[in-house]
Amino acid sequence: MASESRKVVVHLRATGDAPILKQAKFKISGSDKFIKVIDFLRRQLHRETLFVYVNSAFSPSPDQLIIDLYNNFGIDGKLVVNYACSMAWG
Amino acid sequence: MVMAKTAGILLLSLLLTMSIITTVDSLTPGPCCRYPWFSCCPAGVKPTYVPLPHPPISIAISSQGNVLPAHLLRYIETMSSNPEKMEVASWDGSLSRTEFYVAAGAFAEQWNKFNSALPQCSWLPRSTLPWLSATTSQTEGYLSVENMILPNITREFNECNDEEIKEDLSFSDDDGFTDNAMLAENHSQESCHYDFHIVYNSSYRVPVLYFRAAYSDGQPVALDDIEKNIASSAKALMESKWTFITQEDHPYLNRPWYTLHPCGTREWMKMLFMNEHLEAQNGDKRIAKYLVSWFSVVGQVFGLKIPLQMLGNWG
Repeated sequence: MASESRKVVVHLRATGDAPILKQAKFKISGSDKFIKVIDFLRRQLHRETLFVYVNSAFSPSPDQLIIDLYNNFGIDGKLVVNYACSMAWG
Repeated sequence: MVMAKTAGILLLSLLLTMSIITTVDSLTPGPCCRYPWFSCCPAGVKPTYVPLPHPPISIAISSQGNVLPAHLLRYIETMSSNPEKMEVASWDGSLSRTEFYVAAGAFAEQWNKFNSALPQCSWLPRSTLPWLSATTSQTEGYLSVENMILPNITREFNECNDEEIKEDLSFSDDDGFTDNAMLAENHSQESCHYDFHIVYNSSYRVPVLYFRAAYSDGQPVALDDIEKNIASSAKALMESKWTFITQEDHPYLNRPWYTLHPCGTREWMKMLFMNEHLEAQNGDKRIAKYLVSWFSVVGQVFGLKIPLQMLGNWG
């Protein structure tokens, strides 16, 4: 339980033509779900549709726990989360 | 006086033309003619092309704060920091049929190992041309996960149904009459059984998810009902045009199945692997991981979670 309430540093990285955030690193509670990161990005970028994925070539389910993601895919004490905006075509 | 003047001019011009003619006569086309507009030039003389001085062209990349645009910076960073990434960057996110076969094997193995609670995943070797036995190769076929009961969808069914029941009850309180038969007939109370097939699409060179859904009595679920009950993350995926549901002929079964359109697949698969941080990322590993990564996105449409172990143990 103690490990779940631990804070996790999330590094948000833009991909493609997605705008870069002024502050790219955030602390988030490990007991939060991944949807919190997605919602945060949506609010920051004013975009409803984002493609968000973790640096291990997969896109986590929104109800995945941050701490689980960090324990499995954290690198150098942080969880790198990439985001891209919707495609320009189609 | 005037006459003499004009005569002089005439003579002069005559002489000039004569001289021009003689010079032209003395010229012979030589092998030195490098430019097509020099139809001929004196033998042994190499014409040198001196271009007119142009105003210098300057390209200014203007951006705020004298910083290069972010995508350029990232590009430079990627190019300079790790030459191995070049290979990944040049990869277009597609698979060959043989690679798909390899990836499917890896996926099925992982799925069956870590998703023991869910229906097993199996490779069904099939041919699109069953009457030609010679064309049936080992790599022809598809992955199949059948009879899956989706937790999220059934829950949402129940949730919205609960409200209906509550409304019904409040209504019935006033009336003093409850119609139980109505509720029993209601399909939304039932869970849906989904069949998923992962089929290779040779036009887009990517895997495509084919699916169909049925209630427990075998009646197929309409697309409207499926769309109504898919997770919100799926809606986001659809709205952003990463994927969308269409109805298409199943290439092996020749029956209409629903499918997630593959037009965006290559794009997001490329993105998933572009920032790959794994050391010694090579093609084989990428193929082995391909379907798992792919399913982590596609599975979200149906609220299916990929177990983290399935992704984690690749190193």
